[in-house]
Amino acid sequence: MKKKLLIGIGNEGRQDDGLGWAFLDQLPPSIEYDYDIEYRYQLQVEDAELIANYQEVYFIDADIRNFEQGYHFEKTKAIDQGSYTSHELSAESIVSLCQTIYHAYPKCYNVSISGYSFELAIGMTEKAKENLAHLLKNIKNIFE
Amino acid sequence: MSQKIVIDPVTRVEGHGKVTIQVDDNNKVTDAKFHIVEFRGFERFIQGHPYWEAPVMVQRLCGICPVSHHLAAAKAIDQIVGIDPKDLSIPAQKLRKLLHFGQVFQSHALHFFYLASPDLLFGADAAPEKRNVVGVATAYPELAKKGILMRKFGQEIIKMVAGKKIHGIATIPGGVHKTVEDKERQFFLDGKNMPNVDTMIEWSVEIIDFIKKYHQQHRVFLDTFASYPSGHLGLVNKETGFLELYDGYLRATDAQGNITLNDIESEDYNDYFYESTEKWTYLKFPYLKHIGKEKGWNRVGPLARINVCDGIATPLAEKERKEFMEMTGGKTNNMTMYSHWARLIEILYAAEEMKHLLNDDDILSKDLIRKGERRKEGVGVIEAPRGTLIHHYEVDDKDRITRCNLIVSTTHNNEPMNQAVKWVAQNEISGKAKITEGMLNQVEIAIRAYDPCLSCATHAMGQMPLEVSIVDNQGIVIDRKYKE
Repeated sequence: MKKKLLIGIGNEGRQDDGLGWAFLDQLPPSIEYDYDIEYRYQLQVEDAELIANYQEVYFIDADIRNFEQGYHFEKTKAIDQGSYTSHELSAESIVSLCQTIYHAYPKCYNVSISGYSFELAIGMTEKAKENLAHLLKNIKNIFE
Repeated sequence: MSQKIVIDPVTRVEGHGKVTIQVDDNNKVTDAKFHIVEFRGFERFIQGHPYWEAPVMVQRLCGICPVSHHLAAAKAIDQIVGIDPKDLSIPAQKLRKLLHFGQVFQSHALHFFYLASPDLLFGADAAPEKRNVVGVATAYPELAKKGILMRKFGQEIIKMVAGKKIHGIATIPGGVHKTVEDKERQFFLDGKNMPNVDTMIEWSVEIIDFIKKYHQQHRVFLDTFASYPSGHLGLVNKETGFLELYDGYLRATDAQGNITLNDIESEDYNDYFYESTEKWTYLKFPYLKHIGKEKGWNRVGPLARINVCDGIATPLAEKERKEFMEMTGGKTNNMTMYSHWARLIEILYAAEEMKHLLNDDDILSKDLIRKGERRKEGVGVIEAPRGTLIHHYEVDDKDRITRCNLIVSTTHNNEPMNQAVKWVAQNEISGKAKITEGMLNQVEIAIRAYDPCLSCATHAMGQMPLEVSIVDNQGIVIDRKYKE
């Protein structure tokens, strides 16, 4: 079984929504961990099968909440969540699906980065960039 | 005192819809509106960019159906470089179709498994914690696994042709970027690494059998829920009049099946369609000019396509289409919930077509590009999973896009979704003062049948997808319910 999977979620064409992808792009080369990375616009049902193959999974996404440190790290709970559109599926639902269908129980975490503007434009806000930089600076604490 | 019931998004960014239901002093529904707050800035955003960037850029409209936008834009840009659909090389046409069928297959599988099946398997009144995809996976694990693998199969087809599952690059002006290697297509035929295309056909038939059994047990619900007369619009094959998803004539019928748009060339759409605007929604309302705004609107998507076509080119799907049409004695089907059945027939059609194309050696050819005489305008029309999708571009002498008009499937379905919501409001909510979970879900079920493509590619954590409020005519909220 593979060790770590990092899933960056978002859209770099929507300003701070690109935080998840930017995190993957800017991971310091000095981080010599055994991990795979995946870029996602939305999580989808087949991601339940994907994460079943890993010991640890990190869902990195922008968050409209204003965290004191600029980011927030917590375990992903397995929660059944519905939606009226196929255009979204939460990390919690993916974890729940993974457990239900594949009887796999990877350790899963949400890594949420505060974002502030999500309009149709390239480039993140300065504050969002700062939050990302702060997270990357402390990345070892999270991965360990 | 009249009141409003509002199903509201928290922000425009999330791109979710909002439903407002106006009720009178006796809580009787007097009006209902479905507002879509989709941000359509792409039409301006893309101006000034070189035309060859359009097929790549417009994919960012959506993370679920980027292939549809990619192909519709590509068809339009082909015309800019002087290539009409019929002038593309045969291998390029087949590779694009394979890509498109993979897209339709995965999108329809996702919709059925993730959205439709919880409602059908558990019913609208089931507990919310059960009525979702995880509930389906718990109660029907084999169905869930098949749903995931069908979705995955379509995604892998997209990856093979376009290089990536999401936002790959398959097309270039006048053709396609690359061919397929024999070992790549064997991945889908030999069944060594994942269930093969024959299994996909087999499972598609199984799912249609499921909905036929469901239909026997719940016919009244399927026949009545959110049903209303409407026009129907879709592409048909230029030679046979059969179901066509990649390139064909635009055909529309009224609710009785009378032709209202008689097989026009897609580039002539502007002569026949007009888009009106309303102050209460960002989304426009397309309609046929010669019929007028009141009656000229059309549903699009699987149900509309099955209604307007004369047949389906693949044998198993055609057999299912005939059986489907027998439900209405061969007449036009205006019953919203039959959209799910029609969608499954298209899943089977896509699977059969994928098998046909995967076994065709033309997809291995390197004859991929054609060149023509430069033009200033191009229109690309395609049947996206959710319905007719129109891309229209104009460019200047310096190759810059000067005008872009997009009519996406959800725009066509704007009035139909409003009609569906009105039906639910009048039949399920009218006379009741409080919003219940069941009422909220009835509204959602009606909307789900269309699976509106909202401004979806942004979804930061922490945003509330749906809010339901009862508001009086002074704007005061007297009841509110959230859908997380």
